[in-house]
Amino acid sequence: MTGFTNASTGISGGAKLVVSCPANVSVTVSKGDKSYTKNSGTLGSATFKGLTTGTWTIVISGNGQTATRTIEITADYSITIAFFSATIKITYPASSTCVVTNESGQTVASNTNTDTSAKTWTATVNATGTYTVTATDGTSSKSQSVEITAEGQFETVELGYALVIFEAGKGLSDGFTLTTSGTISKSVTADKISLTTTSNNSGQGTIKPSIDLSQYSTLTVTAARKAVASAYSSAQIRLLTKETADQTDSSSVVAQAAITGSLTGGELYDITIDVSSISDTVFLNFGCWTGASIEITSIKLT
Amino acid sequence: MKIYIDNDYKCHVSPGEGLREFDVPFFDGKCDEFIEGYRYIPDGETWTNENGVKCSGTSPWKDYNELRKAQAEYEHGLLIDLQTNSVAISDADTAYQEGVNGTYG
Repeated sequence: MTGFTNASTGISGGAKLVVSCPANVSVTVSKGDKSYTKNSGTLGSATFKGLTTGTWTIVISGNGQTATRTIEITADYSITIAFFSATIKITYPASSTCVVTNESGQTVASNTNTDTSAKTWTATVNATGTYTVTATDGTSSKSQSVEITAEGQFETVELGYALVIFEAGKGLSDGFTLTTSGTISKSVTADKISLTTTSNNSGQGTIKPSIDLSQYSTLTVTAARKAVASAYSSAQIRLLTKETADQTDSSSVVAQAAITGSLTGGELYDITIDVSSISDTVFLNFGCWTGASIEITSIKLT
Repeated sequence: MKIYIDNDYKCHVSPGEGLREFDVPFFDGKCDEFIEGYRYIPDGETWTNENGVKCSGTSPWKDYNELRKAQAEYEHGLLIDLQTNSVAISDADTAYQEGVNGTYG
């Protein structure tokens, strides 16, 4: 005796059980207080429809013989589904493509920007999870993760590629200049920026124009304090809300870091300031106090 | 101004277990909310951000716009106090002068 069920039709109608057995015998299926009997006919097959989920007992009898089997039938399935929609507002650079991928790496939304300026679009996702938003222009790329946890959630992503302000071998990038204030001398070549103060003098250099930090998370400056007049000499990288600020005036300083080095001059090293919580437009300023001199070979925002 | 930093280099205005004390002029005149929205990484040390980049210096970890608003409100409050005290001093001086010159009544 063989039998099979077709549970895919279990939409409130139960399952179908087809019992294959010798011809012209009695076939009875039962579960609990329910019992159904059919004859297998000349084809040796009896079909029972509408059977509910559970263990059914199958008994065939004929010609003085009896055989019994049991079969587990699954006729009921359940699934929970609800409407879900969350949106991600994305701003990404010019001449780039932007994709949103889910945790499995599948692309769930994409957009192309052929303009010469940044573009904003809205991606809709239909499930919770961690999504990665990536923009690329074929050379540079930038990604950011977004956590979606609730229906109707709205998130904003702004992507920007690295902004190189100064790079050794190329000098100051187009559009940027370095101005000074105080008793300080400057030298700007293709390879480095030098700011020099002597004796007890102080001065500062400011990169113009000011920079919108909203798309960047770190500022990295490769620099070193190359000379000092005394143990009181010091140098700083500062992000200011105005072009210049005295050494003791912190009211316009948003962030800062010391440029250190031995008193006899230090090796160049990377100084990175976290600017991820700063969405303001600021001036990048280098302060050289009481006879400190510095060299800079790279300035980059990422 | 004395501030205290935790293992994540976040600033606190009061001492506590596990906090290190530093005197940081950058925070002179700043309100508590402003100070506690900053990270201070002492010279020679670095803090590694979520992308694995080692950072140094003093920078906000809370939205700087919110910190700036808090500082502005704090300074505005100080100005109101100053003005109130200025009026009180002026009134006291007037009363004193009236007493000296016998011009009261």
